[in-house]
Formats: sequence, C-alpha cells, structure tokens
Amino acid sequence: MFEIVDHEIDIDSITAKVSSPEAGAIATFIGVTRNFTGNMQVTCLQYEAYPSMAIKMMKKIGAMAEKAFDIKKIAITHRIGAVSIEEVSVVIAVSASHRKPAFRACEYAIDTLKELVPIWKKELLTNGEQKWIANNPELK
Amino acid sequence: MNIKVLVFAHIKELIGSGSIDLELSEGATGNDLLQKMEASFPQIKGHRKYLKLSMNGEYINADATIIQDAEIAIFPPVSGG
Repeated sequence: MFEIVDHEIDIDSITAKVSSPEAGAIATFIGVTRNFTGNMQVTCLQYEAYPSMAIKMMKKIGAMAEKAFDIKKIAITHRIGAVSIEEVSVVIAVSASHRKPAFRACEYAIDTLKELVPIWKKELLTNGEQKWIANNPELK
Repeated sequence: MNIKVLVFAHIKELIGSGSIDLELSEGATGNDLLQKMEASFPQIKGHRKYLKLSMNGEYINADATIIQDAEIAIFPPVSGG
C-alpha cells in the first residue's frame, strides 16, 4: 500500500488498491510537475529518497490517518528520479464510507508527507541551473 | 565505535558520497556526530542548523545518544510531494 517507484505511476492501480465493497467514496491526491517556479521555467524535477525510512514514514502516516479519520483504506505511491512537466510524482488514494473523511484524510496525508517523508526534489531549469528545494532559503 | 552514516540530497552532493564511516566514542550524541562530520567535511559547515538526523528510520534530536550498529542518516529538510 506504500511504495517508492522509479517509473511512471499508474493512477488506476493505486485507486484499485483502496477499493472496498464498504466504501462509498475514494478521494485521490495527484501531485504533478508544473512548468514554472516563480518566473523560472522548469525542465523537470529530480526526486531522491531514503527509501527504507520513506516507506516507514508513509506507513506511519497511513496508520495515523486510519486512527484520526473514519476511512477504509489508504495507499501512497511516490515516484523518484526525473519527473517531467505534467507527469505524476505522487498519488494518495483514500477510501471511506462517505466523502468527507476521505477528503480530509487525503489532505492530511499529503500535508504530513511533505513534512515527514524523507524525499527531496531538485528543480532542473531551462537555463541549465539546478536547485534543491527546501524550506530553508539558504539551501541553494 | 565505527558508525556508518547515510547522507542525502544537497549534503550528499557536498560530500561527494552517499555513505561515510565515522569513528565515535561510546555514548556519543548526534551533536558529537555532526561535529565530527564538520571536521571531516568542512564544506557542510553552515548547514548544521537545519540538518535532520535519523536513527533506524526514526527522526532523532541532536542530543540523542548514538547506538552502535544503528543506521544513522543526515539530510536537509524534506521536499517530497
């Protein structure tokens, strides 16, 4: 249910993982590469992970989501390597009896992933520059 | 004790390797480890204040004691998603 892959993500296969006869809703979050960061044009994003810890943290997020929200199943897949414009870097799918807990758990999962899961992205810009992305502005 | 430290992203690039071996005394903390890393790799000086530490796949504070044979990692703030 939690994985790091180095190839294109098949979104349908992730939603299929959380399918349940008791679920009336499946909410998904799909993260994609956009073409501009500020006024700089992006070629692609390059993702790197610490895989064993990343999976451990994703499982923790899944367990916390199941505890905090009335959901059936949750699945998270993150891609690493080069992810081009409009390609998918992360998919989160959550099934629940009703839509609200599905939406909420999905938002919680992506917000927490961005805080805890050891994955890093580097922007490759069309002007040839490369820039690691981080909250700290000194990290360039 | 000999400790293997994994490094990632910007820190990996600065050091030029994803894994380094360090000799630490018994009872050494994350701070001791970071100090030793800075002594061996001065190019990472100035990054310390935001570096994250993990032991066996769990985040730890810099004052935590490093356990022998544990998997230690040092990395910048995450930016997945």
